[in-house]
Amino acid sequence: MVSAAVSPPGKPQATCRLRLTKKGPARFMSHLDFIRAVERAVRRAALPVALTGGFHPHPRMSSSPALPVGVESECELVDVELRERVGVDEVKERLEPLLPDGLRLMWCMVLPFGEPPLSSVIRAASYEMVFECGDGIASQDAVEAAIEGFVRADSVRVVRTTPKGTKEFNIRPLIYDLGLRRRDGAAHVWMLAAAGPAGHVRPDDVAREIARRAGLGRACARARIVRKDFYVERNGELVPFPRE
Amino acid sequence: MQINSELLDEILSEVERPIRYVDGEWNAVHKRLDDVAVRVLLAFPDTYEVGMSHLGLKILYYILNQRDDTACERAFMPWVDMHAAMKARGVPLYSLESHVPASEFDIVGFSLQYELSYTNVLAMLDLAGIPARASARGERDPLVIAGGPCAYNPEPVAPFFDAVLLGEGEEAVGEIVDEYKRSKREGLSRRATLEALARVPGVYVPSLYDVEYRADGKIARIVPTSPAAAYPVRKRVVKDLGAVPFPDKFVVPFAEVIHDRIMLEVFRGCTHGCRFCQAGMVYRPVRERDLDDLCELAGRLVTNTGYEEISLMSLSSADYSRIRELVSSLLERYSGSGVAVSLPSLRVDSFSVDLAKEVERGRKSGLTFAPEAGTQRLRDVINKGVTRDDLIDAARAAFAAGWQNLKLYFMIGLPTETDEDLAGIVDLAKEVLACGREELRRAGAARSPQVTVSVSSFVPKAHTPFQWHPQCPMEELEAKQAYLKRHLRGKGLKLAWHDVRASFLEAVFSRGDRRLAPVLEEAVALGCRFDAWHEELRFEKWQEAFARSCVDPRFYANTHWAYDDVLPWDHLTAGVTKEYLVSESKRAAEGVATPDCRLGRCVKCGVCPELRVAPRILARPVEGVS
Repeated sequence: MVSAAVSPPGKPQATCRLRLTKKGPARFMSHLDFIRAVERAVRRAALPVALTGGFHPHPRMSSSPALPVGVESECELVDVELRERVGVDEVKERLEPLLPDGLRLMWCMVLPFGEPPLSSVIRAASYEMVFECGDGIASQDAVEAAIEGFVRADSVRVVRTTPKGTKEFNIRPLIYDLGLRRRDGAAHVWMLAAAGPAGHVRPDDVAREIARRAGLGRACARARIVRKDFYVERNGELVPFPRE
Repeated sequence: MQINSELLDEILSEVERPIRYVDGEWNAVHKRLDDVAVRVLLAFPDTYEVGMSHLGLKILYYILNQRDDTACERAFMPWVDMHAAMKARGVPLYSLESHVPASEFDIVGFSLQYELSYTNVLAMLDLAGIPARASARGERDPLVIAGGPCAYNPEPVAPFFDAVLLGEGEEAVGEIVDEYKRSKREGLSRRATLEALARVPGVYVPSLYDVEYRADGKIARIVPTSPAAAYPVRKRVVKDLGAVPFPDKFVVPFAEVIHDRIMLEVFRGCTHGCRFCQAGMVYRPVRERDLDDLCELAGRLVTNTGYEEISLMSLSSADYSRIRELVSSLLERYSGSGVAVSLPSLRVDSFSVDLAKEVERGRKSGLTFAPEAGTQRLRDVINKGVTRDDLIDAARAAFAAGWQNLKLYFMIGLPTETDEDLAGIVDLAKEVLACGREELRRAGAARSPQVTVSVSSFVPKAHTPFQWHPQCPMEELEAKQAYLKRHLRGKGLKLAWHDVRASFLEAVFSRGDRRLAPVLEEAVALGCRFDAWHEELRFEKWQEAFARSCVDPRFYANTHWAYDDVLPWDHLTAGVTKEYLVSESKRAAEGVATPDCRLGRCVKCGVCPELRVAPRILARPVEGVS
């Protein structure tokens, strides 16, 4: 009979930082689904993950802010604490073939343990929202006008329904940049918005608001949204999440 | 042809938890459907979360996809919002893997786990555009086949299935595919194909039997109408589980499903012989898997799935004769890597508590025991070999080991039940609670114990000693529940109960015959589906469906049937003989217990000689089995 002692969780020695896509059907995963999928891929890869203590040990992992269901991403960040140091190439080699569809490893870093958590360094995120405008120029003009109105406004209120009821937010101060590019009959909207201590902007809220202001018909009101990158603060400026 | 993906995307962005309707899960098998001879769709008539928790589906998916000539894909019943959206926009039921309409498969196999999923079967066929009635299907429609525990009395749904497989599928599915392939190659008609399938042992083709009724509504005769139709159809049973494949890769869902873990089946069958229990009768004999095979399989499953928990599955896992060795070796190997071991079903004894203590380590979530009845007299009637002392010992051991929440399962409405038996449930629960207070006080624990009593209503099931017994009328069941609600209150006591209307429908269909098929069609037309989901059950619609079809449901649920009545399932056998069931039924009336055959003495249930099998138990029981 095995003794009931719980094995030590193993003190983390390093942090493995993964940048992953969440594309295709995987965009329909909830954030918890996504974390679980990564956790299981990491276990399949038999990486030496550090576990939490206690009777019910869990892998020590943390991630960038949650993505709304249906939104794609090219920049999801996941920190996996390791109980022994493993080289970057080895992580890539072992993990890459064991990731499910839609989750592609863009890069990974192995950092010394003790790195500040992602949640304390990420300030903002950039998004691309693509409106497929069936009737071309007219809709693109409408989207452009909607964005101009949006940028000029002091306040843009969105209503969010939570289990506790509905709440209204002013998201305007949290949107740092919003712009349009026209391409192949589609309106590509670029946005930089808060994702951190200042607050979180849901890109689907913004897309819905733009569609509403532009009076887009049902066929093109729903944008395809991709989170492109996270931003951190360097010398008072927002810069893309560093790969270093 | 694939379904319109833009349209699907549009729908998916509007429904709850869309992830369950898309593919891409780890270990899902994608084959080019044009490259295989036979396309099989496994259809589960409940949500993805329920279906993906089902081991049988994983086994068949794996075995069928092992074949180069076959592609096996999955479909589940879309939840209410998705179902409505698909209907509204003309998206048919499709397979998860290739997004191909269900109607383009050669074989659509439904898993019938519970009677209350029957309306979902019809809803899925409707969504697929496949005619509900087998007789209305043409040469180009898929063969619609059923399997699972409800196959032991498939009569209420018999008109909807081309064929039904009785018993275990590991070997039979391959034979069905072979036979289908041969029929297709030889250009046989649908009827000839069905006759060919009927010759596969275990396959029941309902259209090859006529049922004649008497003036009083009972069945006069069940007559095979083709030389291909066996009488009786015997269930399939795998003699040696080690000789058939068990998946070493499970599809790992993206969505969180109900049983989201490795299911390691340690043995099949159970011979405790509880007289109400269909599983205990139809899955005989007991066949244990080899210890080394299980350990090795667990290793491959952990590597291939990345799951964080191994659940040791069976009808009563503490019965596995080498359970201690199995648990120890799995814990030794995985406890350092964050992979937990769990035992889903416990016996009522301190041996089981010890095991639970070992696997649960410190996380004492809750423990469940099933004494099933409140008095020794009634427990003898149902042959539940558990005494008050067993329960109190087990409860004491559990509280002493640190558990604070115990759940006790009881059944109400069992044959011969009296007020005294109900009072017995209350007494036992209070005794367990008192024993919890005592143990926790002794241990100096700050928290107080909690005992949850969960009561379900007895449902007579085919092929059990209680198959002739009526279900207690709904009003009486409600009165019994009211009694328990009155008496099981106060600090530390909680009561949970099942909707009696759902149990009533379950009884109707579990003892039903073919005359219920039109009722099901009516019910679906009236909007019934997801009847097993409390919030979705529309009982008034069911009443209307029975009335419209001129069927009195009480005939099936609430009348006593005689031993010499022809039962709707008399042409089907699970190997357990009618003589044994009659004798068990009589022993029940006398309150005489029947021992477990694993203790050495054959109880003459008939399974071994009927099916030419033998129990397979690795080691003689030495501890824990009373």
